[in-house]
Amino acid sequence: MKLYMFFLIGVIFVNFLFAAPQKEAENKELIVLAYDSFVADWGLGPLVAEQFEAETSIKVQYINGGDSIATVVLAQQYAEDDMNRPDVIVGVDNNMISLVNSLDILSTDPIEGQKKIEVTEDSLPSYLVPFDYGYFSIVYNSEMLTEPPSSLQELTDPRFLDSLVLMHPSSSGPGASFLYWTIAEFGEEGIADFWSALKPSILSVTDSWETGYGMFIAGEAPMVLSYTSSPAYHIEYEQTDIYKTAIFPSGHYIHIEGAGVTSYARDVQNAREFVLFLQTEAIQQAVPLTNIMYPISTETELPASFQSLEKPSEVYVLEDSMIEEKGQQWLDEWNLLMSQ
Amino acid sequence: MESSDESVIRLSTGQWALLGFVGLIVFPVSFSFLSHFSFEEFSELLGSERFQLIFFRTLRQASISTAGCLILGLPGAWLYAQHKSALSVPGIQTMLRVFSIIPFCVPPIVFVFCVVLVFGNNGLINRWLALPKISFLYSQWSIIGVHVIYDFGICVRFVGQALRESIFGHVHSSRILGASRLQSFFTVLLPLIVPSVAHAASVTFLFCFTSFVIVMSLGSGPRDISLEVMIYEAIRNGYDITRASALGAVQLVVGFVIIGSYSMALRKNIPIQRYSMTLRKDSMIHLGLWQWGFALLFVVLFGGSALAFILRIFGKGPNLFGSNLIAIVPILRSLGKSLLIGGSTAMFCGFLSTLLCSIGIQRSRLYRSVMNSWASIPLAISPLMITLSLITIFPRNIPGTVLVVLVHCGLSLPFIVPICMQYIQNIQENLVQAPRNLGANWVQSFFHVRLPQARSPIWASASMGMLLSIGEFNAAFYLGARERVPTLSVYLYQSIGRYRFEEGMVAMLLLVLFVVLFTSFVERFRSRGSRISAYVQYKANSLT
Repeated sequence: MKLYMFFLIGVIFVNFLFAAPQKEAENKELIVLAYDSFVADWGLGPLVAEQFEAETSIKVQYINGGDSIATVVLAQQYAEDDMNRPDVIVGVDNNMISLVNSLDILSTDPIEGQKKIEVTEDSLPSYLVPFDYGYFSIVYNSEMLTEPPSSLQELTDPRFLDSLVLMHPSSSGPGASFLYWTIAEFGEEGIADFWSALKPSILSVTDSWETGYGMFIAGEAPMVLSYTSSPAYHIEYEQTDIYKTAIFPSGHYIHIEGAGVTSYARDVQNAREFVLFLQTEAIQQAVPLTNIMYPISTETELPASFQSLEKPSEVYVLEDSMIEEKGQQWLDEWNLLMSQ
Repeated sequence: MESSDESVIRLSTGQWALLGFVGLIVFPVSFSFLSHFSFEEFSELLGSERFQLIFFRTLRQASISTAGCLILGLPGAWLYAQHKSALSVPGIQTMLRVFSIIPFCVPPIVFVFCVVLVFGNNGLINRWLALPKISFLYSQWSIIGVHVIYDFGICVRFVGQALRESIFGHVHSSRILGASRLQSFFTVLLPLIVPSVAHAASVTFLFCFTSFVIVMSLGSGPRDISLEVMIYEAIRNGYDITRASALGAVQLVVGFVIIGSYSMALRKNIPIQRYSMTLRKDSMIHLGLWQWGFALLFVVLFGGSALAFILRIFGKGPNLFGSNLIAIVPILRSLGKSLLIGGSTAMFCGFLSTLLCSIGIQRSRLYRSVMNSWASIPLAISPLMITLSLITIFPRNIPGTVLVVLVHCGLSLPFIVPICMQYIQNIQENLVQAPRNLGANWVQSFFHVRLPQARSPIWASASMGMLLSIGEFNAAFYLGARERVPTLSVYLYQSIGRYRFEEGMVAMLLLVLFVVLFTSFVERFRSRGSRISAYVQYKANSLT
C-alpha cells in the first residue's frame, strides 16, 4: 500500500512537472502545425525554431500533424481551439491547393517579400511561401534489388511481387502525388488498369511517408515511394550508397513545398515573419541536409551528397483546376479499386 | 443474504444518481448520433460498394479470428484446467496463464511490436536465423493470425476457469455413476461448457471486430482495412462526422448483437456447486502435441522477442548506447503523459468504485445484472467512436488530454463495475449497520466501517483504470494528433511505424513494466478483497 501511495504521489508530481512549463510558455509562442518528418528531431523544424527564436525571441511550438494531407485536414479542427490554434501551417504542396482552398484554413492575403522558386515555372499561390522542392521517385535498396524498374509500367512486373511501399493518397502528400503522377502518365482512362496491375507489387500502403520510408530502411521492402533526393541522406549520414533512385525517362512528378498563415492565426505579423524566415539563406542552406530536399534558390550551394544525384529530365504536374474538379472522384475510384 | 424480492428493482436515490453518472459516459455517444446521424447518409453508406466490401471483410476477419481463437483456445483451456501431474510439458500451465492474461492486460501495440521483431521481413527469423523466408506480415492473414495468437487466451481463461472450478467435478461424478466417456462428454461436459464458450467467443469476436492497431500496423493498407479503420479515416482524412456516425451506427448494431448474445450466454451460465476435485490422471486426455505446440508458440513469441531485442541492442548499427540515446527524453515525456492520463483515470475509477461500494446496498441479482449490463455498454462501442462523440459535443478548446481521460474512464466501466459488484455480493450489511445501531452516525460508520472494508475493491478499480489507460491506443492516437506529447503507447506505435526499433524497445520495456506493475496491483487487491470478504463471511457466520 505504501508503494502504491508513493506511486500516486509520483503521478501527481509528474502532473505538475508537465503542466507548469506549458502554461508559462503559452503567452509568447508561435504555434506551427507541420508534418511529421519536418518536426522530427532530425528534421528542419527544430533548427528553424531555434534560429527564429534567436532572431526574434519568439518561441516556436510545433504540432505534429502526421503526413502533409492529414496535417492540412487537422488544421481545420483547430479553428475553435483557443489553446492550440496554429498560426502557421508548414507542408502545403502544389497538389494541395484545392484542398486548402476548400477547407478555408489559410489566409489568402498575399505574402509580400517572398522569393519565387527559380528552377521551375511551376509555383505556389502568393499566399504560400515555397521553401523547398523535389521530385517523387521510387527509391530502392540495391542490395535487395539488383534490377530496378525503369518506368512506372515496369513496377507491375511479377518480379516485384510484394516489393513496393506506397502511401495513402487520402492522408499523405506523396501518396496523392503518386496517384496524380500515374494519371499524368497513363491518363484518366488508363489508371484503373495500371493500379489493378500494380496491386500485387504493393507490400503495404501506409498512412504517412515517414512510416513507409521507415519500413523501407528497416529492410521490410526493397522499394518505396520517396524523392529523388532521398539517397543523399544515406550518403551524408550513413556513408552508404546502397539506396538509389530509379530514374524514369518518361518523367517524374514535381513537389513544391510551402508554408502559409492560417485564416484564424492569432499573431499574423509574426506568422508571416516565420514563413518568410523559411526562405532565408541560413535555412535554405539547411534544407538539403535536414529536409533532404532541394532549396528553392539556385544560389544556395548543394552539399557533396547531392552532387551525385540524378535529376529527372521530364517533369509532370497536374493543374490545380483539374485536381479540384476531379480529385475526389479519382480518390473514390482508387479507394474502391484498392479495397478489392 | 439475497434480496427477498428479486423481481423488483429497488434503487435508492444514490443508486439512481450513480446510474446517471455512469450514463454520462454513454450519453455523449447517443448525443453524437442524434446530432450527426443522417438516414440519407446511412442508406447511401449501406449501398456503397466499398462499405459492403469492408463490412463483410471485417465480419469475415472477426469470424475467422474467433474460430481460430476457439480452435487454439479450447485445448488450451482443457490443459489449463488439468491437474499439474497430468501434464507432460513442464511449465505449460504458467505459459497458458500468461497467454490468458495477454488480451486483458498487454496493450496490442506491445504485441504487434513483438510480432514485427520476430516475424518481420527483417525480423529475427528472416534476418538472423538461417531459415526459409517467412512472409507473414502485411496481409489479411497476418491480421487474423495475430488476432488468434493475441486473443486465444480469452478462451483459455473463460473456458479453463469454468472447467477448473466446477465442470470437472460433474464429469467426474457422472463417470463414477457409470456414464461412458462419450455419454459424459455429450450429456454433462458439453451443456456445461457451452455458455462459457459462447461468452469467450462473443468477447473475442468483439475484440477482433473493433481491432484497430493490429489492422493499422500489420495490414497492407486499403486491401485489409476494417470498419474501425474506416471510421478513423472518415475523420482523420476528411473530418466527415456524418459518415463516421453512420459507420459507427453499423458498428454499434453489430456490437449490441454480440453483447446481447454475451448476456444470453451469461444468463444461461447456471451457477453450479464448486468442486475442488479434478479428474484422475489416468482418465485425462493429455493433448501432448498441443502442449508442445503451446510451448513452441510461447518460446518463439517471447523468447524470440527477447532474442531479437538483445540482437538489436548489441548488434551492428546504431543502438541504445550510441546515437539514439537522446531519444530517451521524448520517451520519458511520453511516459509522463501516460502517467498523467492514467493517474487521472485511476482517480476517477477510485472515486466511482467508492460510490459503488458505498451506496450499492441493493444486492439482488437483478440489480447486479442491471449494473453489469449498463456498465458493459462501452464494450459494444469502439473507443474511437466514444472519442469522436466526445469531440463533437465538447468545445474544441478542451485539451485532448482531458478527452482521453474521459474516454478511458468510460472504457474502465465494464471492468470496475464487476469488481465492485463482487464486493457488494460478499459484504455483510449487518456489519455496516451494527455501528449505526450502536449510535455511530452515517459519516462515522462510512469512514470507520464501510470504507475500510471497501478499500481493496477501490484500489483494485483504481489500478484497473491505470492499467487500461496506460495501454489504451485508439483514443490516445486520435486525440494525440492534437497534442504535442504522445502517450507511451502512441509513441511505441510511432516507433514501429518509423521502424526505430531501439526507441520502440525502450518504450515497450517501460510500457510492459507498468503493465506488469498494475496487473500485479489489480490481482493483489482483488485477492485481498476476496480474503477480506471470506473473513467477513466467517465473522458474520460466527456472530449469527
